[in-house]
Amino acid sequence: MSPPRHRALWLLVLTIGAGCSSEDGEAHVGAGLDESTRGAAGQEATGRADATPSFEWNLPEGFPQPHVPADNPMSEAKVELGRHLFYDTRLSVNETQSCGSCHEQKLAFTDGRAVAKGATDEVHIRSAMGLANVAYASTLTWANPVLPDLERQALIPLFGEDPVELGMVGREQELIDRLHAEPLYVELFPEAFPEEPDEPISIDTLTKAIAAFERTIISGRSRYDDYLAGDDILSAQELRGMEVFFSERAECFHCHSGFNFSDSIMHLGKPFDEVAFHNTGLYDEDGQGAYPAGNEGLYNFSGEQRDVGRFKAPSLRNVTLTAPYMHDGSIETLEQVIDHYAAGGRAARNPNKSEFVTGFEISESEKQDLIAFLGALTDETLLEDPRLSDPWTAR
Amino acid sequence: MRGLGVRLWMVAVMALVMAVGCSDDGDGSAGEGEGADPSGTSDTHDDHDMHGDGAAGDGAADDLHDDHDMHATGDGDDAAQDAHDDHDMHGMMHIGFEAMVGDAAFTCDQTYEGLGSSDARAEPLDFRLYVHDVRLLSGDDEIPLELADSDWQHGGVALLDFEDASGTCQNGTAETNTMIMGAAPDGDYDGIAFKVGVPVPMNHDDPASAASPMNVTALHWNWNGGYKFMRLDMRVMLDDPDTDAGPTTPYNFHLGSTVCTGDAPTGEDVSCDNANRPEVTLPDFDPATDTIVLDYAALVAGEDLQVDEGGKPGCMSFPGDMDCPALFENLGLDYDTGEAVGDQAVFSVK
Repeated sequence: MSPPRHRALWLLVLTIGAGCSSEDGEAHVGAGLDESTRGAAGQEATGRADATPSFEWNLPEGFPQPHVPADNPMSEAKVELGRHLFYDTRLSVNETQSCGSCHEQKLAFTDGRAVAKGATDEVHIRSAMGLANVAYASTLTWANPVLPDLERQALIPLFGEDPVELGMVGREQELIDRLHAEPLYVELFPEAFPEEPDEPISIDTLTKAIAAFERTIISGRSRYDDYLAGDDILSAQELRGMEVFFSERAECFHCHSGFNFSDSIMHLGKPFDEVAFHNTGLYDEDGQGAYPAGNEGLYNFSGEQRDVGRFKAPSLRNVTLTAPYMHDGSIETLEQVIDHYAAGGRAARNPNKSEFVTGFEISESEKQDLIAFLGALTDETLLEDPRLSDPWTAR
Repeated sequence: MRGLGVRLWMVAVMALVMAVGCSDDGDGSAGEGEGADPSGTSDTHDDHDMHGDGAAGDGAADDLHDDHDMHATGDGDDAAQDAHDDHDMHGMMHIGFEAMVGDAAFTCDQTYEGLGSSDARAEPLDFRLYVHDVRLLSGDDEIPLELADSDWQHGGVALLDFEDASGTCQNGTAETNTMIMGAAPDGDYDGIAFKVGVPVPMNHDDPASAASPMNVTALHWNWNGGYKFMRLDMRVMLDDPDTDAGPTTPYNFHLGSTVCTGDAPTGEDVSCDNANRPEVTLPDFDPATDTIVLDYAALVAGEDLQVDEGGKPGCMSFPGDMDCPALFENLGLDYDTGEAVGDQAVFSVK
């Protein structure tokens, strides 16, 4: 057998071996796996495709591993720095708000408002989204098809002008100076970014650290998860509600699907990112599907008429805590949300409406069952986890 | 020479075993730190059996074993994608599929006409299906086509995906797959057979920890039902717009197992009275030159897409959904029992 054949077979073997982690082909997956180690990946008997082997995710049972961008591998030091930054009001123009102001831990990282309010009291057109499991989101915010990573997303609240959120636009140097003035940051940034010895404190490292922290906001220890793990823990009412939730009649699970109760999901081992936006029949202002101007969902990116009113289906984990509901907070309670869907949308004739929002019959007791089941998706550990809490209040 | 070949064969088998283990790792890493059943259900014994059988792995390994004369052309690269050029590796073959709507090729940016008994007009929203148990026919013999694991194939199941997230297929995935790839001994094959759907042992696993393509959220139905074997969704233009619902109606076809008992989430064995896995047998099929056509117009022949006859719009495979019987008959399924009983009219040879 000639040497070239020999090599070809090895190549084939290694290719097949690496093929299992084919998602590594994507730039945002290959963190820590360069070409030389990728070949070796096939030799790991456990087949571990962990992009950042040194980081302990401590994932809930059954949860897949999140994607991590290649240029921002996870580390304990980075996450801890990110937690401090996330809760630091010096990140806002008047030092009144931090990321945590609109993403409060006790409310599963939402703010309880219909629409968010920035540091200068400017009101957002949309509701602050919960951050639990944002690491698994294939798109970020309510309807942005071109914003795949948290690093870039962090720039929007920091520097956005319409609306003003943290209001630091044009004040980049001021922000950096503030961070330099904090002794803890002078210590934490270099620990988190040893690869940036000359300039560890920058907008780039700031957003990377916040993103790394946000990826650890993982929620998968609800009573429903305990039930999945084999604990006979759900009440009869909650189990009845689960039946309704997963029924073809109510159709909840078609959009709120999978382990994160959302159909816009990505994670390691999943080569095809799923990105979905749905019109739930909230408005039809002109009989042709119009939504309130300027808040038209995917249409604001695509310009396509059929995209008017299409928004992402948010995760339903901890949904009991994240009222009011919908992208604009226009529905106050879960009961009203169910009524909305049971009616096939309050603007039922919207021509862009999802094929799954066609209405259904539901009795009053079934509605209560469904609400009870949604309550079983609340993860109490998320709300109290000290690793996710505000480090400044404890000081 | 022979000795080296054997050693290389062993290396290949080891690598394939590792590869299979690795594709499992979606689960493995997930459970990390918990030290518990990573799937979240204890249904994994079935899953492991599937890997143990190693349908794809064994087949591919055999292929390597037999392939002493493999040319050093680097065919191993992207094997699943380069199948067309793969004649050098004997035994590996691909089977092409085409989606049609009557005489027209399926695309996501087209409105189709003349569908069903009311000659409905419709635009596509989704067009995906799983197939498994693929067999090549040679006279009276059936020879399994051992599917190679890839992003599109796992454990002997392949996902065919004709939507590309463009046009009206708004919530799909950009990637498409119109072929299956597997290994079979050289032979004179004159037909092909396969089943539509996901086999029982894999149908109730946890999709969050399953390997691709079994982790596509849009194709998972629910815990007890398992996967949507076929998801062919359309939006139908009504001749007489409905006063409540507007000018269109969805017509979704989700084929899957129904009347299931057991509690899949907690790992109980699930048993479904209505399996609803169509059996497709296509004689006069030459794998070297022919493709398999899936015709949506043939699927909905005889069904009125404009009238909802019960349940959700379209057919969700459940008993009592009178939108279903015509489609089931066209797929060769007995609607009452879910058994594959008759000739199907949806798949054909081209």
